[in-house]
Amino acid sequence: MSEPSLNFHIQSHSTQFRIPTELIKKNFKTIQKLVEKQKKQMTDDVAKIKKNPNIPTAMKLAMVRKSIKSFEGFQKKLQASIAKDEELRSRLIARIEHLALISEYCITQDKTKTQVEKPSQPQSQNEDTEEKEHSTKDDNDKYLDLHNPNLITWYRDQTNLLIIDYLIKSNTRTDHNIGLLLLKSLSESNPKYMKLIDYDLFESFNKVYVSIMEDHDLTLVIAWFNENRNFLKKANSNLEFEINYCRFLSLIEKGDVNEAIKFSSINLSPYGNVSNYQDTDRANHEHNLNRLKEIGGLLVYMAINEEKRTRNDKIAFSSNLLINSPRFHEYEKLLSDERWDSLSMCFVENFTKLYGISKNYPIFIYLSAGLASLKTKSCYHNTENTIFRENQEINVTDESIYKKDLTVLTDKKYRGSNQYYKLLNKINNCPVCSPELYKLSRNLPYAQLITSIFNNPFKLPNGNIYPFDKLLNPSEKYLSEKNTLLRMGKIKDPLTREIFLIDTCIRVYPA
Amino acid sequence: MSLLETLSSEIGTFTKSGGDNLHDLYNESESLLKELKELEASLESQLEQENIKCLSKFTNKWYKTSIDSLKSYNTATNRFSKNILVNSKFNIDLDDAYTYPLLLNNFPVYTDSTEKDKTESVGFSSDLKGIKIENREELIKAIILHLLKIGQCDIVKEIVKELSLGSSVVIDESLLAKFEFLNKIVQDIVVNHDLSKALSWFKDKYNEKVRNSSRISQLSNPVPSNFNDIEFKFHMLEFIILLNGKDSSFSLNDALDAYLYSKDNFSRFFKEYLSEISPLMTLLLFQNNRSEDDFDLGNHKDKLLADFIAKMKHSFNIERDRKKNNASEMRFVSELLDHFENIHSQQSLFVNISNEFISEYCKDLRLSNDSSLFQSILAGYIYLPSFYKYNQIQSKMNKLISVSSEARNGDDSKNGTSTEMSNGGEATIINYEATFNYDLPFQLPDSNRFLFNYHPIFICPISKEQLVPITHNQDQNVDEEPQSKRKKSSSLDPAASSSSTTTSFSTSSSSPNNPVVVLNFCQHLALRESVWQLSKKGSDIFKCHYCYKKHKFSDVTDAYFIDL
Repeated sequence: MSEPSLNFHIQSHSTQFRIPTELIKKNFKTIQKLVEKQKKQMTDDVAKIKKNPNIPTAMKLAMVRKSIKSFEGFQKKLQASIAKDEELRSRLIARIEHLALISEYCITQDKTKTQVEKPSQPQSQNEDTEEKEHSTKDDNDKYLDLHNPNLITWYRDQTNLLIIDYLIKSNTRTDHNIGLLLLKSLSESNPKYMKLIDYDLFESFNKVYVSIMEDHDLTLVIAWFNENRNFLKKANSNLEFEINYCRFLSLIEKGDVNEAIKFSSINLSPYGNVSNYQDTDRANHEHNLNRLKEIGGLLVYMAINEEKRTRNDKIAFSSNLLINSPRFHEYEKLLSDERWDSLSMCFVENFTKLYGISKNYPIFIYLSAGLASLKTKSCYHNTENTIFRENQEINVTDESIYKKDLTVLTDKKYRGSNQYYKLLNKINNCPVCSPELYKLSRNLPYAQLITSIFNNPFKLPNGNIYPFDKLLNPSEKYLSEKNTLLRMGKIKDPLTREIFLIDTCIRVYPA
Repeated sequence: MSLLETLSSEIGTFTKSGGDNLHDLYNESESLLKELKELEASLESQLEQENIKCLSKFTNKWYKTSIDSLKSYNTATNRFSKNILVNSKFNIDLDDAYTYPLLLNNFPVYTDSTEKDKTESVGFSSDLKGIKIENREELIKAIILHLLKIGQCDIVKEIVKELSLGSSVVIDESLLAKFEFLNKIVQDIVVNHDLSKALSWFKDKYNEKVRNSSRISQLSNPVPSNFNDIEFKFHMLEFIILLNGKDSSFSLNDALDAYLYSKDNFSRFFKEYLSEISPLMTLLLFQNNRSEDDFDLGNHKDKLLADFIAKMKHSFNIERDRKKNNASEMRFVSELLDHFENIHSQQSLFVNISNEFISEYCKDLRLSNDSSLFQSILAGYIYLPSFYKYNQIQSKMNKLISVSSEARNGDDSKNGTSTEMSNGGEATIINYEATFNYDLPFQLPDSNRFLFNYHPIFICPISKEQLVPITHNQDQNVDEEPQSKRKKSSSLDPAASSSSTTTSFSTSSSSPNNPVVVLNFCQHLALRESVWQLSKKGSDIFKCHYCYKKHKFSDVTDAYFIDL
């Protein structure tokens, strides 16, 4: 449908430029505030000195010295902010340079050269695609030359960055973040990595998430909310409600009911009022309102539950009825960990929106497309290609199979790729067949391929079709069994070990 | 102007403005500080107090220029945002290309909960949550394998902790040690440009091979090994490195070393690579062996030599274009010829050859020759534009549909497949495992397929269906009921079922019992099912789709593709 092009790479890497710019903006505001604050301080100081022209010089000197000190402090902070800005700008520059690299790996317009670089393709087809490319692409777009090993190396770096990105963001540990460890380790040999990923931002993204989910601690998310209040308001974020809702439930959980009621009347009740919402934000209102109604009932639940606990035997009949109603059990759910899920989801949504980060981990997006593109109907779960060993699986080695009766080998089932790769001592390089990715790709569709891939199919009388060249190429050693047979005009089926006259074998078409 | 040029120039302007303005801001503050200090000094020496009045002037000036600097930087930031960040020409939302979501969570998942779920469900989980947790383990495993293959052994020990403790999976310890060794070799190549470890590994493997083949076993069937091509590259590179000498001085001794090396090691490759070896050997002439007195002569000689080498390169390139085999080796040699004088500055050459070494090494460990994760992501990069484009078209179509029927508007925010998945309990479970009828609704471009020719694939020229090898017949009981699943899958994927020709055959096609057959009279291939249809269920004589030779259904025989 469409080929990988330079422009597509630029477009799909837009987040790479967006994040540093957002961070620059934030830092810029810090600088602005610094300057404003310092200006006020200075004018106050100057005014103070001016107001009393008759104070002794010693005092003036003291005042001036104080100003100098404060200004020096300002200068230090300014310097730090400028250094931060510089770091962020250097990321932008490193990223554009990194992207510009691939512009050198594009297919050149010069036809003769392209043909040289694509020796594996028949000439006519090559010209065909060339023409198509010329007619369909934008004036300035270029297609990438996947024959260039440097481009492949570029993609290797990209892959590592995607892995780091995934590991940093999906980290669940509080001691350290594996993604960062990997980044550090990789940047030892390639310092560029540090500039190509906004590891610091992703780390704090992850920290806030973990603090909510693991520690049920709201400090970080509240701090983040305060920092980005303006953006969140514009984006109709529901984060503040989620935070307050969690705080309320935590108070209830602690048994601090009075405090909870006080808290809710100040911080939660305004969410029930539709006029506190933007017109575009009706959905949030409805949702929040329903949840507010639920927590009203929660108080009743608490009271009855308390009663149930303390006077186990004699509960009022009406209360008993309530306890056994399904509605009642939903309140138990309210106090479960669900609220943390809901808060963290809301946070993730807001965070990704602010920085233009994709909602799905980028590695998933590339992996899904890649696996679906590579998934053929010949793929199978190849347990060989891994370093992980499930508890001692029974492995029938090829030797033991060959010790069986030869007729066994002509059994049809050994002609499936899952069998013959093993029997022929052949290594399966297909990534979809690797046990890990095979499982990941289970739900993906199969790639639609246009052309068959098989070179010079050559059929033996037993129905096995082999690639002609590989089957008949004499082996290196003159005296090998294969060569001896070849000299007699015979060939041995590598799989079934049957021997046939070459004259009885035929070339089949197409493929 | 191309996007790249625009982007670079915008970033250039933006970052320059940032640098300049903040620099100005800092300098301005610095000068105000200086004024303050002067004031301090003058107060110390009891001078006029006129200065104090100036101070407020200075403060105002400082403030004004500072704000100007900030304003100007702010303008640059806004300009960059407007021209690039919010410009649709520069933006693609990656989420829009996620047409087929993996069954994985998009948020951190706790391994503790993994533990619980593991005990709850034995073996393969059937519920979505369990599958997602299992899949995360698989992804982590794939990452571990990737890191081992790229030589990040140390970090692996940390990452293994991410796998749930109770899992029965263990890493093969002996393999781990071998990967550590690989890492050392690769570090030597990439960092120190030292090939000795790699070369001695090749030597060991070569000897092993010779030893093994001396006691010919009739039973085992060694695959013709292709160590040669990559080993050849290493020898050539080593030759050039020796020729360069320690400090690229090309001394007589270096030439001698290189010559002796070639004498010991090249003979094995002579037969196949004569045309590659010979131009490299001429580089021996290039040694830098001139004494002080014949400076002019030396100069002249250099010129002649340079001339000669240029001509030799040229003739080699002509040869390269003419010859079709050994393309990769040819390319490598011509790269060597281009850069032989400054080989150590060609870092990419060392990186690329180290990757080739890794693939060789993995082959020896009976593992696939590259990181599976990398290969998949590479394919992702290459084919993502198609997925994106498809999704764009789909969402436009959906909009058209939703305008006409407001009714089913509920799942607007989700993308295509996730709505398909939430089709109700029964269908959901089935869709966790794709059936053979679940094809991508669009075709992928073929031009870069050469990177991914992992399986021989047969596509029936009549039904355009892909052959499903017998593999799946006995291996996977999950696929044993193709009939019942097929109906569901086709209803799940409207695009596939509506695509013209395939539908007529989809009743029982692509079932595992649909092998490839040879038409006996013309040796053309097709799928049995297609031929069955052509022959009107075996009752009629039909013509071959290619050559119109007449066949009966009994005139076809089953065949099996086997790759070597």
